[in-house]
Amino acid sequence: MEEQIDKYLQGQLSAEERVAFEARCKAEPALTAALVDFVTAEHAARRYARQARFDALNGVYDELAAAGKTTVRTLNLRTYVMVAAAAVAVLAAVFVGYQQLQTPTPEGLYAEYVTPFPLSFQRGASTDTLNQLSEVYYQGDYEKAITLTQDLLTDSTAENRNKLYMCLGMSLLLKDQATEAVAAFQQVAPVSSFIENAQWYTALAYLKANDIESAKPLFEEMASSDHYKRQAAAEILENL
Amino acid sequence: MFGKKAHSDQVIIDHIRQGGVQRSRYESIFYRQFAYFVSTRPAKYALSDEEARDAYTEAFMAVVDHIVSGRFKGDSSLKTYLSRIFRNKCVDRFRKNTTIKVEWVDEFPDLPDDSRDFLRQMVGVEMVQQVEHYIGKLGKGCQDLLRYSGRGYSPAEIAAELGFSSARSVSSQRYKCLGRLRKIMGR
Repeated sequence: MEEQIDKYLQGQLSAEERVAFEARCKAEPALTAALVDFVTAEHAARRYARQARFDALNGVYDELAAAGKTTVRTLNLRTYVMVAAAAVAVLAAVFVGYQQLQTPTPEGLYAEYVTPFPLSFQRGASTDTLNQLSEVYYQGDYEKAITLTQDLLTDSTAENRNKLYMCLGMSLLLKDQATEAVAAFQQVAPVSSFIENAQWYTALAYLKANDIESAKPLFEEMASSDHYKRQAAAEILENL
Repeated sequence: MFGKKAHSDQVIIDHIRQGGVQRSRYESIFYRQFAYFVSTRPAKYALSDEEARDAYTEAFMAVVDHIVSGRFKGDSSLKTYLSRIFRNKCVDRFRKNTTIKVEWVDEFPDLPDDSRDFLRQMVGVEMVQQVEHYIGKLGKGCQDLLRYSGRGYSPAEIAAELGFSSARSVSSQRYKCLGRLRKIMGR
């Protein structure tokens, strides 16, 4: 009888057997009582098993918790976005930095190509001031050279005006006064023998001032002509 | 999430459905894998650690049952599925609705619906509710056997777990244990 009941509860009877079993239960009080007993016992056993399993799993959790293994560093969406944004920013900064290392800045190009223009004021020049200017310029005292040159240029009849403007421009440029230097170089007369030097240093002064828009046409003009600095101008253009 | 490599859903599902020792092993792996859910429970329900742990365990048991019965179809990942049920269990706990809503006839999942109706007519609810405390009066051997049996282990698996000589002897012992239970219940 028990086996029959068990098979019934396990769903192991065919449809016909099941219907027949249920009909017998209705007709036989003893079978019904046995079924009720079996069901209640089976149910109790399953509930017991379920509770035991529940307690065992909770025990696993408690062990994990005691070992500090129930918390993980989880990131919510907002944190993920922030971390991702920070990572992108760092990568961008690294990329830009790398690019900057690979591509010289205008000021870097200026520093690479600028060299003091060799101004020669022959000894025995017409004035003491001109002699003094020659001395301080070669000593690298550009501040003094600026003052002396400006003094000399106040005399509209002064000799070597184009050379003096070159000296003034160079001194200003080397004292990091790029804009004033450009103004001085632009005073050199187009017919002067210093005009190519003035053009070259004007372009460098624009680089120093980070004014690429003004520098580029000058370098392009030099690179496409037989300018004495055409090779250097072409190199700078490649890096601009 | 971090540390040990997580097992794939399919590996866990396959081993749980395989039953026996593999089922126990992979249930444990699965349970441990997402135990951190307890610490990431929704704050708005203000559950204690213990309540959240119970909610997680209930959710986990439901998911395993769904895997075994085939109710879990794999439409979502196990993590998503478990997370959804865990949240529902947290809501239940929050509403103090902590009774596990398992109707006693649900303990017989292999029965067709019309037979369940038949059982409801034959067996009173009160009768079922009374018997649970009697099982503790059984010997340890019967308790163990009924625990495995109640978890859905086959007689062969129980034989391997508890050291019975054969599946047949497990079935025989099970009937004896149920008979003892009925005797304790005074029937």
